[in-house]
Amino acid sequence: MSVAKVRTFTEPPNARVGSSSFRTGELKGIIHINHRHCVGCDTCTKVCPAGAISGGIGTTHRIEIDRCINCGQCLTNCPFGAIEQMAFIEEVLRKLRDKETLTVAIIAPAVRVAISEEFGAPPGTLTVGRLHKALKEAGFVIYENNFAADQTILEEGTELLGRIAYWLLGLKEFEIEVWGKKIKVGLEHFKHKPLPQFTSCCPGWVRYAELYYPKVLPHLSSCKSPQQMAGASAKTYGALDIWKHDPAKVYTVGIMPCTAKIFEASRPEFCHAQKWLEEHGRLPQRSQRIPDVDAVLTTRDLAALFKKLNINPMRFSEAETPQDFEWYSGGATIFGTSGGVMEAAVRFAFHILSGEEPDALSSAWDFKQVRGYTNPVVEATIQVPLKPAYRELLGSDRFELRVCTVNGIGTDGSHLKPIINDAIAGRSNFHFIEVMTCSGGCLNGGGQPVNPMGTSWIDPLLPLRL
Amino acid sequence: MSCMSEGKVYVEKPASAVISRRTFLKICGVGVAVTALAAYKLTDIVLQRNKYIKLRQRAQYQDDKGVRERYRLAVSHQNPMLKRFYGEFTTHPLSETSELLLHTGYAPRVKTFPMEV
Repeated sequence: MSVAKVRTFTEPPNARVGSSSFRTGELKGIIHINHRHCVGCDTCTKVCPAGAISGGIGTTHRIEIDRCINCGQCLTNCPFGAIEQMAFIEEVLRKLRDKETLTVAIIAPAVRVAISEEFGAPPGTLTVGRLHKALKEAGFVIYENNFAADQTILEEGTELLGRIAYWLLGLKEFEIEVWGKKIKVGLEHFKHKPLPQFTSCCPGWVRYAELYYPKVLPHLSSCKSPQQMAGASAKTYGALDIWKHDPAKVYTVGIMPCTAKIFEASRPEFCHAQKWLEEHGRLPQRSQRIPDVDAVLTTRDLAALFKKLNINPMRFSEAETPQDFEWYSGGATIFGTSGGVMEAAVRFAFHILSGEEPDALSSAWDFKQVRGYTNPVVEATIQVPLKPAYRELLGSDRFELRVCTVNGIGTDGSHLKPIINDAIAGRSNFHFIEVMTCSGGCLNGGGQPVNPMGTSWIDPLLPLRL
Repeated sequence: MSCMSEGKVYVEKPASAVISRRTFLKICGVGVAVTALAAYKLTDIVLQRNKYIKLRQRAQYQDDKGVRERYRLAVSHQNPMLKRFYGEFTTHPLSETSELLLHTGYAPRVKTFPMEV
């Protein structure tokens, strides 16, 4: 079974000019409906989480870019292939040819479960070692986005425990123990970080919140998405300590299942590596901005790049030994599916609160009750036994961690709106809420191969959930 | 009884002149088959619409299982390179370097673009 072809276009000259909902520098119009191919079937309107598409049945549809969150669900669900994506394949190829540049591939978890479809394999063919080898053959150095997912969990998990300690226990300081080291976390600024905490990994969801629910923004975790953590770490720690390469000549490429990541990388605040390097005298002060992530390729774009270079990842073998930033945990790789960020955070919180060392082979470290699968919203309560130090603080021998997974924002926000409204009104029962814009998680993102099996546009038409 | 008076008598046509009983049954049979096949195909499309999502999800959990079996890494803090990253670079989660490089902030876009909330 072959996947559908998706047309791409290069960045138009005015794409970074600010408009009413875009700051200067931010890419706009990443998703575009080609009016010559749109037949007016109205499918895109039915899958759009932001209500950003105008046009009735039989008329040419148009995306109102100021309302669009760049998720690309309209693109993957369009039955006529009329929707196109902005791509940066040529730019990345130029950098790969430049021998002075170290080109870093930040490769997302959901890419490894789908890219094989572009090379004729059935859906669900896991491609890790093969993909790494193909990327190395193309000239990339690998920074696993799964490694960045592990960074995210350490930061976001600690932040969650901080919010709980500040708001439920009224503490001003909180101690956690990781790797046998005791770490004191100051909680002064946590008065601006209310409960429940929402995840911030999904750039579609972040823009959705910024556009439609600014009141929920303090609830969003202050953690960057794994892609941006990877970019900032690769150009500092990676360049200086691991690859020993001039940070100004490190070019980071996010390889993502997602079109909203293209927008995220262009957000003007994301040049923290440059700021850090300048502050530490590792880079001369310069006026030109160096973004943390220089370019983003979708899964489809990477397949196109491989085909241009005549590389077929499927002819390599899966076996490999991880090096440097290729290491990742099981909790990190499930970021690609709905409920994965939640499960990884729950595993970490469980370890910190109970003091138990994880047994990797035991199913006790699976938290299947938080997984999204194909359910729109999943709620779960996890009983966490407490270690003696926390038992005294809480006056109880266990803690009930209440979590919620939103598996897709839903047509015009239908799945998410009730949950946000509860959080804003202060009547939410949850401590932690995961939101993914695309149903199923990133593996069904707008940058993934378009599988002809996929007819999820039927969903809104069904009278009953089948 | 004017028609009678004009000598016209109603005579029922034999059914076979329009369609024989046998042909009628054949047409019914074909009709049922076509409808059933269409309904079957339609339910199939509806039931299969998420299949590729389920298959990709299965692969994602397969990777989780594989990493745990091969390297005994289930939880993020067990990642050996991550331990090194914190040890050599940012020291601990929510540290000053972490806050600078790994954290961010958000701003409402409503100021520039007033929308219903």
